[in-house]
Amino acid sequence: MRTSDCFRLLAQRRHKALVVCTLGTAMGEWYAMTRDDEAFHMHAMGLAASFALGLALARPSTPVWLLDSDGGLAMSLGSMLAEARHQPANLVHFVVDNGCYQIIGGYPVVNADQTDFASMAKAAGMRRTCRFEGLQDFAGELDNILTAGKHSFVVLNVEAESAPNVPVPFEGPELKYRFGRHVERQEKIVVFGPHGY
Amino acid sequence: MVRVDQDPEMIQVRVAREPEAVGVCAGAFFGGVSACAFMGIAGLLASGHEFALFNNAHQVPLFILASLRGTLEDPRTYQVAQGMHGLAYLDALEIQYMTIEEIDRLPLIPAAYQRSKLVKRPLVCFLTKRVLFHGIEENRGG
Repeated sequence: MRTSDCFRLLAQRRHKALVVCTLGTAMGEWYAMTRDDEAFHMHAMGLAASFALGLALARPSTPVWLLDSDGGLAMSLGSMLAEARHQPANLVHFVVDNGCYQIIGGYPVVNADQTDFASMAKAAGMRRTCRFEGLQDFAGELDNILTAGKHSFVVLNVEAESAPNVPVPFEGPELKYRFGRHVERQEKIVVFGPHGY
Repeated sequence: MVRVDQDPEMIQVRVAREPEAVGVCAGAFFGGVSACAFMGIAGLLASGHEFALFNNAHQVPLFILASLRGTLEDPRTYQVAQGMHGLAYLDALEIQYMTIEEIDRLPLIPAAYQRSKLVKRPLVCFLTKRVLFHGIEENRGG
């Protein structure tokens, strides 16, 4: 199963979901697939899960998709505890598990051949966890996952591939304001004050 | 923490490690919700990676209420390192901080929160042990 094929299915169903991508495979593959200027492309590994949790709790009526990676999640395994405690119904946490750090050439994630993130999430207390190894199975369940109105933790066991050569062409404050303005427009809320901060 | 839990207008997110609080608060910020991280100086030391690579690099504000421990009048051996390195660490990351040493200065907190948004990076408001344990017997809580 290829990451790009999984993300194509997601991109077709995005609608108004707020998308958070973690640095590495998830961010690179999602941007290469979608050229999505309205997602939050997290440039700090290990922070995306807690960021998405805070966002989901703040916007409980809006779907939040976290496109996480095995390497990013491994950096903050404790974040699964807070996620399990709250399990926001609007949060779907996808973990792209390719067993390696794609953007540095495929160096293996520690213990990659034995770690089962879905089982770890279940043991942490998350009620809806699943793992997919084939695209057909994932495609068959995806609509159920996205329309259930329940928190889900979804591991995608994908092939290790070379990184797509499509860098996200903005970063830093521009990333902040692109995403924040998108949230303001879509949710009709105020993120930045009248002076722009 | 108990009082925060009891307030229906607040959501308390307990985390396993302080850098997670950085992420939760950032997500809340982008969701249009006010947020505050509670931690000690050890938590500030642990969160340096997130402060530098996330908050400072993206100009994302973060308001932190932190206990000021490891000062000269603090006899706890497990607070010594925090006292020795904590403020220098914040200086190195160019993170502003202020200290509330007396209970009558607590009304400064809302202005400090607004300041964190203005400077667009973490801002730490330290609370001394005297403030934290105001009205509670002196040595309770270590």
